[in-house]
Amino acid sequence: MESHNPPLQSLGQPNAFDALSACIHCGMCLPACPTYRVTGSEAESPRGRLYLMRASVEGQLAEPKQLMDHLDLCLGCLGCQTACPSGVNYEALLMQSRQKLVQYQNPVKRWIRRLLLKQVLPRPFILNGFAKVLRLYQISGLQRLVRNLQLPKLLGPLGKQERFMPQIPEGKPISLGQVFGVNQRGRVALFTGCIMNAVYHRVHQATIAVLVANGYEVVIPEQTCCGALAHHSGERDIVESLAKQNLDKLLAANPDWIVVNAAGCGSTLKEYDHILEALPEGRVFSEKVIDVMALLAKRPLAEPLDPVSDRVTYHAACHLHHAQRVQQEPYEVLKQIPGLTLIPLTEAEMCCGSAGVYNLAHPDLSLAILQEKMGHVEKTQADIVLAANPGCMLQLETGIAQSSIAMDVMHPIEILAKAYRDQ
Amino acid sequence: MGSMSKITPTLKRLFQRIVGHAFVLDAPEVLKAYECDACVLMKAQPDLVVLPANTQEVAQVVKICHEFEIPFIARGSGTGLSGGTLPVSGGIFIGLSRMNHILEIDPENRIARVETGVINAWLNRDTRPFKLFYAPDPSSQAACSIGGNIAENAGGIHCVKYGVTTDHILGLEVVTPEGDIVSLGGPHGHYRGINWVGLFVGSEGTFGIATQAIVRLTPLPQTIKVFLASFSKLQHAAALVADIMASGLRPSALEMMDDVTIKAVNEAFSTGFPQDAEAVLLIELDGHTDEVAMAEQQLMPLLSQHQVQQLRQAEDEAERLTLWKARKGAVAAYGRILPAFYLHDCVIPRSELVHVLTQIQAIGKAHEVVIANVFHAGDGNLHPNILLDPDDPAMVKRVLAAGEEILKACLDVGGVLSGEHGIGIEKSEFMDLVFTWDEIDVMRRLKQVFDPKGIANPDKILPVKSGCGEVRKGLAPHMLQAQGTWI
Ligand SMILES: Cc1cc2nc3c(=O)[nH]c(=O)nc-3n(C[C@H](O)[C@H](O)[C@H](O)COP(=O)(O)OP(=O)(O)OC[C@H]3O[C@@H](n4cnc5c(N)ncnc54)[C@H](O)[C@@H]3O)c2cc1C
Ligand code: SF4
Ligand code: SF4
Repeated sequence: MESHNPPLQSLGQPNAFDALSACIHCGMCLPACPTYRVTGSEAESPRGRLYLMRASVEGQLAEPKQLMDHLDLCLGCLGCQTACPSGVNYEALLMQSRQKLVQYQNPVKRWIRRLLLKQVLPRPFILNGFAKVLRLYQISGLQRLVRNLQLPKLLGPLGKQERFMPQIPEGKPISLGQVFGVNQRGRVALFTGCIMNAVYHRVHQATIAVLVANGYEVVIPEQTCCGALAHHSGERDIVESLAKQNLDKLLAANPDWIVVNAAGCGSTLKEYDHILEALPEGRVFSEKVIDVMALLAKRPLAEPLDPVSDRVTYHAACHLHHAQRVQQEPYEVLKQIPGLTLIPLTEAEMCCGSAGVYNLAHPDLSLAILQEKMGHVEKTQADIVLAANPGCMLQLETGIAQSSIAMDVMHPIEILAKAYRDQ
Repeated sequence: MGSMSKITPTLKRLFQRIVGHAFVLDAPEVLKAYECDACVLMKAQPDLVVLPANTQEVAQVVKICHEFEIPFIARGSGTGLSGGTLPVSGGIFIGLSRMNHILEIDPENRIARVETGVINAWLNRDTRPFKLFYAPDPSSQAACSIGGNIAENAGGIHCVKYGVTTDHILGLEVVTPEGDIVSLGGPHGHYRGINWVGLFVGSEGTFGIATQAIVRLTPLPQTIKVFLASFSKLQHAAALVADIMASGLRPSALEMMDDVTIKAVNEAFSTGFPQDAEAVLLIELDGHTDEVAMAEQQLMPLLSQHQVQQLRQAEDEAERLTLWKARKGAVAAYGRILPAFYLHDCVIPRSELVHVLTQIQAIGKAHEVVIANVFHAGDGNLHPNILLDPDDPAMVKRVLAAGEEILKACLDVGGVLSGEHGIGIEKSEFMDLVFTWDEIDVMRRLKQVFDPKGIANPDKILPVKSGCGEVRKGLAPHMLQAQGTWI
């Protein structure tokens, strides 16, 4: 599979990379990039990655690997895009590059990954089943045994991944096909996602409760995986097929809004208009997609709200803050809760290092990025750290488990649900 | 490049032993990513990049360089605009990007101790809760390092009132080109003997590497007011600037943007500057509330004497911050027009602003290039950004020619080469336009005292007087590169 041709150009469409010319190499994006921050290397910075993309387009790199190695380490957090005054569309450039680079990847690894993306993630029963087994492993004391015996160390590199394993709570994933509440303000379809539903079904329960209290009818239509992981790995055909299925199934429920509480899923669903370029409904679909906090920020929260006496801090998930640009809304909503203390988090919008499966692919780097995040989180001395994405929630839980701090991790909607607990 | 790499596998292993394998970089594409800073017209790759974690590691790395006569260049964030980090004779980069910790903030004594890889804006973020700030604020402050600021004696928007970097550095920890660790100055500044700190600040990495700095913190002003005045003619704005500064007023910022800039920042930051204006001035007054009120009374009549098209005051802190963010992002926002820029950074007497800006407009027309002006008007520190597409050689040629004419126009009225971006490699060829060769020789001898082997950021600042006595004047370095004469 190795080719010595310039990887990007050789695939035609040199114009797809025209957007590169917006980068004037000023470096303003560097400190916003978590991988630059922990490696210190220009080649692991946005400016460096864009420079290498350009070098690749111009045929100056000897082999595709020279670009691939550095794009692989990119979290896709888009901190750089928010920081860039020149308006460089880093996300589009990264996607285009990855789509073109997949063909040069190790074919066996790629085959396994495609299998996961195509056959496992879109089938909730496999994931939910795995979650059940994992919960058994955790509550039976087996996990404690494994960790006490220092087995993760014996597992070598895999041991690092063991640390990122989610703690599975009790309860059941939300099942599809249900309807809640009555339609006073609108009818919304809840997107359940794979990980959110398998691990954090409590977040869905909170979302439904808050939306119902605010006058929304909530339907849970048939649906499948949003395709985020496939999208970020450049596997275009897989994401296209998943997008097509979701589009048909969710639009069939005839919702005013498609509500998402997982930032990563939300940003991918909003991209369906690009992913399904040829379909006019793609646009209709994407315009209906909205993050639950953004929907709730549209009007004052329904009264009455019970006081919530927690001290919380808010970590801004990349795919909400940078990708969807939902930035002020979560604060605006949280500020309406009586009694709540909202402590500002320094660099709230820096990535926590979770980034899909990044923590499994690059555990060392991910942990180093997490460590910076945890330093800031710890300084807030909050009781609860809020994050609107299951990946971030898992990552923060790992961070807390590894440190001496006692803090809970929640989705912001769960705090809201507390304010509506008696209704 | 040009010279053969002196980095043998043994040397590489030595560096690895000091900083760890992960922090010695030499993959070809990584070196490529390091081939230029924010001045994209000039390129040269280092032979190796070393990213130390602390002063001791820097010193050990430099010791090896000294022993084996390997040129080394300190690199902060690579936002420099004069090619200061360009390894024109090969050698290694010693990157300060991992040495980015704020070690101590001492609000009582109003000082902070930082590693020099700390980003300028972080220092401000962390000192704000103490109602203090670090005054020098280059437009690149979101990204540039304190070390880079020290090396270039960086200026910024608020320097018209608060002074430039050198006024705010009290002490330094420096690794000399021989690998020794020395402290210069201290928490109370320089108090006796030779002012080494003053000498080091602005030496562009040619005297060694600053690894830590003790910086002065300034109390945040009680009141800040920002006015935005627009003008139908650039010259009207320039005349007002000269009058404001001559009146004895001390604005905390006095910045000018021209029409090209207005368009770019409106697009990037939705600032809503008047689109039909040929120039806007951002005028900031700060200090005690009474003081600001008095200054405002003094300012208003001046404004009415000049043809102000529109006057607006920033409503609140949020609007003020947006205005400054837009000003600071202006240069990067040019990326929306053309992919690169080339600029000079001359300082001219403020009384000559009208004259020189008119000339710059004419030079732009004559060479058919787009010139965007955004600059520290109160200091007379011009930044005519000539926008360009580096892939268009004919355009690059016109840009360089226009640049040189602008430079000469500035020097003709008694201007100096650089206000804040440094001489680097890009302006070293012009040094003999402002200094005699005897003066340049004094500088060279000084450099030899610090760096007898000539390995600390060689080729920078000081121009080369070639063997036959002829000077390579007027040939900008990028053109030399094009001719393959990088040696
Ligand atoms: C968009 C934009 C706006 C800018 N605005 C301004 C402005 O308003 N005012 C201004 O003054 N400059 C400005 N600059 C220029 C630049 O940001 C400054 O020169 C800055 O000080 C460089 O810092 P750096 O960390 O990027 O240094 P680098 O570019 O990495 O290095 C610059 C020089 O400093 C030396 N150096 C770096 N670190 C050290 C160290 N620790 N010890 C010794 N030498 C060292 C290097 O060898 C090199 O010679 C701007 C640049 C850009 C791209
Ligand atoms: S991506 Fe934007 S901020 Fe980063 S170097 Fe390029 S132009 Fe500058
Ligand atoms: S997406 Fe994130 S990790 Fe990737 S270059 Fe941008 S800031 Fe860095």
